[in-house]
Amino acid sequence: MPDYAIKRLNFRLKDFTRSVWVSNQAGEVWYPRINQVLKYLREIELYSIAEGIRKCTIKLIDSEDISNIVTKFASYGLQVDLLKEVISNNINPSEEQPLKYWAVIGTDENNQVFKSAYQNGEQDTMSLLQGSPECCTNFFHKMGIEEKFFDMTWPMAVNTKEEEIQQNTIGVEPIFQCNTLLKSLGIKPVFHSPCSFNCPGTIELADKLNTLGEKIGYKKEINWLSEILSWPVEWSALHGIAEIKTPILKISTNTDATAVKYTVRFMGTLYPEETVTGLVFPYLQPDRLLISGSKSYKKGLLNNSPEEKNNFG
Amino acid sequence: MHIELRPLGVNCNIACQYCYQNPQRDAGNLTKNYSLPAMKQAVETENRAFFLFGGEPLLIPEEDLEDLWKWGLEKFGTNGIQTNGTLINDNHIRMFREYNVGIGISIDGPGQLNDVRWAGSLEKTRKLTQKTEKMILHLFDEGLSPGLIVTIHKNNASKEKLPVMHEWFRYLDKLGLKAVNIHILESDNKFIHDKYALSDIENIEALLSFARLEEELENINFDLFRDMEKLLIVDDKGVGCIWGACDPYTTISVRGVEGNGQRSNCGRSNKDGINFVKAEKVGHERNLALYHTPQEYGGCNGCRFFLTCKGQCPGTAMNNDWRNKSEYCSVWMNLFEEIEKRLVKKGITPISLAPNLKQLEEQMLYSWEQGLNPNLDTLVEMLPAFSANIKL
Repeated sequence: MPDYAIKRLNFRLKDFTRSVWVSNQAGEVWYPRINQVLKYLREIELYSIAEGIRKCTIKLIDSEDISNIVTKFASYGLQVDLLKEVISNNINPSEEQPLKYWAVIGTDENNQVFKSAYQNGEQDTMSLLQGSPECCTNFFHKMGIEEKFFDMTWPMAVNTKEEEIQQNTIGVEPIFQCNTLLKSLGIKPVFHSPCSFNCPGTIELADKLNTLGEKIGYKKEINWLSEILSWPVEWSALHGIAEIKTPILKISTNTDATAVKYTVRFMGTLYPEETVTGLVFPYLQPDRLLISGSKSYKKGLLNNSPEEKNNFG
Repeated sequence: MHIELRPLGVNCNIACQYCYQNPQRDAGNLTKNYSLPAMKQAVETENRAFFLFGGEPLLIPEEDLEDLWKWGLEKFGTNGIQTNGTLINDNHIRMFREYNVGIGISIDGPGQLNDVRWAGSLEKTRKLTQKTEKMILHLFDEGLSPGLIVTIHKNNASKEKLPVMHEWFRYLDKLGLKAVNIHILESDNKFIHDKYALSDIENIEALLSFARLEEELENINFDLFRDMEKLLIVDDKGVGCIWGACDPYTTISVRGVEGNGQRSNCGRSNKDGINFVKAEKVGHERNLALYHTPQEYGGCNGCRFFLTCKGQCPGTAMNNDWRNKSEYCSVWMNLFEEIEKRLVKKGITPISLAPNLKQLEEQMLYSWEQGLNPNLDTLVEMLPAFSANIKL
């Protein structure tokens, strides 16, 4: 069985995320859809608090936007309370950036509870208030705080208790409600870090969010979100860089620095129309290898030319 | 820095067994047609001269070749092509001359030494090799001097075969050949790698033999050694892309334009057989990670040649994973050491032995974190104290 105890190196790269598309066409179709999904997620994050599914949430906000945000959230019946000013860990600190603050958003009562927990360093209370199931909260406490994992993907996969496909590679069944492999793009089914890829509490919460989302008119976005989260995905970590491959784009982002490669495969079977063929998971693989599977290529490999004298000129 | 314009993608008339484009072919990601207007628009947006590339670009109909090169000459004053040389005819030669086309030919050696550049059968392979060899002579007769790309492997650079290669280079040198770009075999196919790749020691011996040979030749420059020396003496403008901290998501030295106008990267980064679109922003996470990762785990931590090498080409990374350093680290390290020794004998302190090397490395890391990628000469200017320590 795979182990939580992975070989980690003693450095962490500054935050970054980049992505590349498999084709222009894939980008043209999915870039606008992903943007709409992200807009939906921003809305449902707040609605879920207004509707009582979650008690509060924390957000990073620009100082310039504070008054707008306060007004906006008041319309949901929510309050904004600032927690602390943030120093950017952005990889390009030379870019001009406004001051940022972590803020808690919720009802006045819940915000006060959160602020108290924040001031006392009660991570578990803060997680529970944000809607994290108890199992996920406990797991994050163990792996995120005690074991200091920055990226919970590998511990989640180990905790899913599947057998390894090969050394340091775990395959997990495709339960989209627990798929957080695309969180670096902002695409996620829930707003907490699940304890596994099959956590019942997370599935229940994701379903509640989707039901609420449909109720407030986001059926299309929910369908796209569910579709994206159902694609096959491979996440791998090596030397502090996670590469996440989906059928239409791949992502490079920072993760825990590992000495060797660790891989998690989300064994989705749904492919978008814009997918292309590739040679390995998660791509659709060709039935045969066009060149290296051909007779003439194989003939070339068997070729052993006799020694000959070469004349020039 | 040119554009690699690939109207027909990786389509080719031969099937070199080690070709780094085979993954894309195996996956069936082949180009079926192209659009001249779409390609021209993409080239105009990039606003730089282009090299016709493939696969084999001479599969393009001659009228379209002429259209592109005529346009290229009007816009940029120069053109280029990288070809296997098997399809060159008199009309192509006319176009080469008329449209100022720089010619690069890929060939691994004379006769049987070129057999790995397979054409379906041994007979056909030998026939096409002979044709290419004759064409190289013909180009010189016509006053056109091609450059060569030569990949070294067991079939042309083993101990027994090296004397044949040396003789061939001497012969080409007399004809006036100037530029030879030597590549170590890079294959994503384990079987090919095991069959043809030289060991590290064999690669080192072969490359050093070419370095010694270069000293006796009048015309030929093997770019590789010149570039490595330039890096060590901090005069690295224009050195090959393999030393340039290449980001595999953008491959800044290779601006690919496909038949439909799509921007793409160097094909060496397409390990999964997919021709990804270029990322919108450059990142140097690979180099930053390599700096901190111990060498035993595929990183470069502690290596005094890190600033000159930077982990080398991500397309040649260990285990086909760009997050690792080059699988030929040992070869490059040995060659850098050799050139370093020669420089020290001449009284020159190379950057690898600079007293403030650590400071320079930190400056480079900071630059990469900002999204910049300065040449070493620019980096050194950022730290004036270094200049006082070098004796040139």
